[in-house]
Amino acid sequence: MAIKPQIIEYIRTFVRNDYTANDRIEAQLDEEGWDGLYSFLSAVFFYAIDLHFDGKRDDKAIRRFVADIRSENPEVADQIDPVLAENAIFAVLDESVDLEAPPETLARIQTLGIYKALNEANLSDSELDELLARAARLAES
Amino acid sequence: MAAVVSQLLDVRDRLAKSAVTALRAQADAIEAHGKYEEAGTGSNHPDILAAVTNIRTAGEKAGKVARLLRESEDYIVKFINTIAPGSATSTPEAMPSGEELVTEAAARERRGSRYHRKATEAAANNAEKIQKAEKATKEIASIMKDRLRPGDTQASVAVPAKPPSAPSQAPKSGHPVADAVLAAAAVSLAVRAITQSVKNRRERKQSDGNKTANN
Repeated sequence: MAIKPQIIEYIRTFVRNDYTANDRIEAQLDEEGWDGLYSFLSAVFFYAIDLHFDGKRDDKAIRRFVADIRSENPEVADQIDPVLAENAIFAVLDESVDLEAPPETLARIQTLGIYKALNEANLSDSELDELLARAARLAES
Repeated sequence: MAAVVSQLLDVRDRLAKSAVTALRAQADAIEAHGKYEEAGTGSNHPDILAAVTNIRTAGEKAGKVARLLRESEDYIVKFINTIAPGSATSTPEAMPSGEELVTEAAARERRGSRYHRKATEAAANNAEKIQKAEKATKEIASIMKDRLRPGDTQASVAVPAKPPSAPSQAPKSGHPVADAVLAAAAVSLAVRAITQSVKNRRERKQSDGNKTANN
């Protein structure tokens, strides 16, 4: 399924803290429909986590990453089960791991994980665009 | 002189890292080129043809950038060994071969496909689950946005919108061309320092010579 440019833009403005543009796109998507968001989000999460951990599973670093997400986001910390969040990251970096979180929970983990990993990566605009384009290709395949 | 050598050794390391980044870019372009060519088979659409051509060119250029960076690194090593014999070796860490990088990129794409399938299959054809997932993302995004809005009383207690970078992320190889420009600037500074130190030494010698002559 083709990923709409607005969906890509929604995630881009979210990562960049451009809340005014994000509000505008959100209103537009509320009218037109959010098709593809979850699929695209899952693809972006893969590339963001792969980038953050350089494609390597490091359980200690993963546990620290999840603990940081929970402490940096106290409003939603109780909605993030650390075991499920760690499992989602393991599944990105280790093909043999099965995903345990249901879609709604995974969406929360992925959204927070993308925000943290991509902000800490300090990507240039073109690098971020490239990562999002790559994720769109994965979601469309 | 030790400071200059250490500066040049930094440049050598930076060039080596940049060469790896360029090689990775080449591997990614080769991988993408294969995919697009496959997807575009039977299509004469100008957009697809243009994309395939550009990706091929990008791959070739990235390969050339990698080769030039490696050569620059060799020259720097030669230069360091001329001014301070034995203090530099080529390529501080094992360089992955182009083939290894293509394999690495292909493995990542395969891992990506598998992860994506696992993440989406539980929600496939289940509109309710998908809607719940979309709502969850929007809720998180709203919370983050509310922290940033001016006049939000919560903003003062919330975490900074942009968490500081983890130090381990900082040296992630950047753009190979930008790195090469920085490396060139560092070399030029180092060379200026060497020239200055030679000049100072000459001046000192001259003034010593003058003193001896005057005595």
